[in-house]
Amino acid sequence: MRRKRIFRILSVIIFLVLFVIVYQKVERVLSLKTGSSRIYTFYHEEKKDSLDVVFMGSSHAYYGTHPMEFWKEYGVTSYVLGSPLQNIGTTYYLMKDAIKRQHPKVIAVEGFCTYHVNKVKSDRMLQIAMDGMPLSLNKIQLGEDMLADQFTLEERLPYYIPFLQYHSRWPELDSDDFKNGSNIYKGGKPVFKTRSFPAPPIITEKEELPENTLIYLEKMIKLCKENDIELMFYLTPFAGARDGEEVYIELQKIYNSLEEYLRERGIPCINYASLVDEIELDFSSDFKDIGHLNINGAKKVNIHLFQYLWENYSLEDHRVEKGYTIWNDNIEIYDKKLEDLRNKTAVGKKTEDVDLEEQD
Amino acid sequence: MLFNSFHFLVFFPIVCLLYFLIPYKFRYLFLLIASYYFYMCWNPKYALLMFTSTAITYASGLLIEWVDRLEDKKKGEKRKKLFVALSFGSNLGILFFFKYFDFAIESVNKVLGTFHITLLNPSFDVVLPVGISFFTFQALSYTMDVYRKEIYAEKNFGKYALFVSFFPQLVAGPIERSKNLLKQISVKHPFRFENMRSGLLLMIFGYFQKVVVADNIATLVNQVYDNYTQYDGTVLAVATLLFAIQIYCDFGGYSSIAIGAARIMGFNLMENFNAPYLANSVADFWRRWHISLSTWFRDYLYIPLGGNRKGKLRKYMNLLVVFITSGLWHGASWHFVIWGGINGIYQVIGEVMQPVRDKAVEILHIDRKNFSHQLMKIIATFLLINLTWVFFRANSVTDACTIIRNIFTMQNPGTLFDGVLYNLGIERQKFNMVLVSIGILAVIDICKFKNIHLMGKLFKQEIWFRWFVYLCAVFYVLIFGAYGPAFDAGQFIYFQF
Repeated sequence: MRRKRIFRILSVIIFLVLFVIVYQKVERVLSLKTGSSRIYTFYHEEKKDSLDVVFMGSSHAYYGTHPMEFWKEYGVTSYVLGSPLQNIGTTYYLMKDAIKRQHPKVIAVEGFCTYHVNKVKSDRMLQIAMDGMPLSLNKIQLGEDMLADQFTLEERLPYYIPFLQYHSRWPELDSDDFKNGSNIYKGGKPVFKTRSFPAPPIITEKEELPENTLIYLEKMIKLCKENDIELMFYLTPFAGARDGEEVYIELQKIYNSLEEYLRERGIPCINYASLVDEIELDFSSDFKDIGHLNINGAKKVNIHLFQYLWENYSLEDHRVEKGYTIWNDNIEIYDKKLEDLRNKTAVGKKTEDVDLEEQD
Repeated sequence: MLFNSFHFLVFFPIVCLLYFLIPYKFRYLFLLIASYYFYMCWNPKYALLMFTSTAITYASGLLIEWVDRLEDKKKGEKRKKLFVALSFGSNLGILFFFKYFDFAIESVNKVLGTFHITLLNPSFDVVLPVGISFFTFQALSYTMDVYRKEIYAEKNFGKYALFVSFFPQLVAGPIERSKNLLKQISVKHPFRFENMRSGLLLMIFGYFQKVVVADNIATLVNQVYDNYTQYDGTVLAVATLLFAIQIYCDFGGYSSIAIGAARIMGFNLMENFNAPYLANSVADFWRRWHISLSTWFRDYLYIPLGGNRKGKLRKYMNLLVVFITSGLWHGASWHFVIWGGINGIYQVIGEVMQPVRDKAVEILHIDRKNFSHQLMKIIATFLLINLTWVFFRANSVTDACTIIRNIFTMQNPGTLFDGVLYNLGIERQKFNMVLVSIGILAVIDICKFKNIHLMGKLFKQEIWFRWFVYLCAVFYVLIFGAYGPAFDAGQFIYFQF
């Protein structure tokens, strides 16, 4: 009798474990991959504590930063933990959660996220960021902080349980939904498409930073200090704003204030809008659209940025170390994928650029 | 809270866990609190109504037993009847006010309106309390059972209140009898693995019926029925057939979840549906459909009216009364009344035609046990019932009449091949998935019909197979179910009754 009982309890536990495993697999297959896979692979495919630098931010971060170039040049491991329209609140909680998985020496935040001061500019984009995160207290805090005052609990649940949102996606599944594996671009998103823009005006005025931005900035600074991580900011350039020149000017004013604020707090911040000449950025060939760098532009920014990181932080070259052979192996695949992408773009084929990802 | 809400999925495991942890002595009180909480999630005020109904019927039971002990038997009998009448009068009065008042006023006004008289304008904005028709009937059955001395009156008010409010079956049945449920409340129910297993499986089956089949079909049926003028007879016919499946799965699903949930806690609720669409006559259908309600009407209305003991004509009258009342019970609207009426007429015609049918069988040498003969009867019954569902689902009597006319006159079977069916609110893949699900349901119902106990057979299989089936079942519901932000959570159709 007793043996039977123990057997039953054990079998229930094993069944539940089995259920959870299957559940997670099914949930991932059904989830929308666009946008969220970058964060998902960060958690599930990158070796724990293997990254030296983590870049964070919105699309400006992933279009403008290419970690594999960092590796090729300096042997530094890095990853872009970005999501479309990521706001600074999301960046903060994501950072808080990500450092449980990786303990980088430096976190470099692309500062466009400081502009998205409203709690959620787009709840859809927040969902994309959250979809990639495993369920955790930080994830719940993120959701509650961003959504609690606008959405009911039932409306918020799909953010924590993506299954609720995506189970009905089954008729749309294709083979890509079943693919696993690491992100060969390490979070970067190279685009070869080119559009030409006139050089935007240089703005030197400032505008007060929104209160929310300040709150999260301070939280980030504190978090990094407590965890012994160096924090820095960088601001990739852009040719204008979709919503008109006024928005562009406002953004630049905020960037100027951000730069000043961070300098006062002793946090480095590189504003590439003021380094356009130094890095030889060409507005007629370095942008994929008005708000985003293409691979040419990104490489110019990256040469400067990676050099800065290399010179100012005690990063190590891992290229000859044993545990990092996979990174070296990836170079070949990376180069080939880039080449394919370049050829596809050249013949005008539609590449994997998806609207969602093009968001700021 | 709805069974298909996240709220219930949190509520139920917690209630079960606590239920088995606390001492037997207090369990009924705990379940009573849980049940009232469950009910008050809709609207706390409703609970007052349920409490009133509970108090009246509780008192009626005690009073009936008390006067039954009087020396003067004649006087006692008279008073007993008085208390029964009071209990029925007040309970039905409450039900009438909350459910039928507006309908009655409207109907009276309509009739008087033809003479240019307005009686009064209803100034009450009465909201129908959830499940009122269910718990009122359940409570009334108790008064009657005590009167008939089929049970002793319950002395413990808490236990009685739990009988009326027991949350698994509170808002949509099965409508339990005091003979069955009340006595189970005093019995100790230790935790049993077998109960949990079969109860959970039954609940999953219920969710399959409700969330996968009914709710997916609902999108299509609503689209067609709410815009019926845009569709031709073939589409209307398909939508009607699908509605037959929808209402069965919606209501049957609720019952399965209720019975499963109760079973986990050790309670046995009565079966409510027994493969209804495999019935071979309308009368047989009503023995298989919403059994707890049909038997309620049989025991507490049909038999007191005289049943079949007072001649043929009287029997037909009684049948019609019962079915029209049943129609009215389903909803305060004429199309429900007509739906009930047609079901009654079917049975009367069936009875009247019995000798003719017998003769035909004799002349044509038909073997009544023959498969093809049985199949024909099953199909004929299903189609007859479908015709009544048009009245049930349509938004008004006029709509229903137009729909039926169009089904018979505007037939263009070619539509079926145009892919029109895939543009009725659910896309091709979902439509096909619904068809597969209906197939699964049919297999399960046929097994039930043939007395094959699928669950028992499953439990005898090896562990890998059982687990495989459990996982498939759960994920089938999770993936194919209609729920979540993309779907507006469907209320169980029967909640409005």
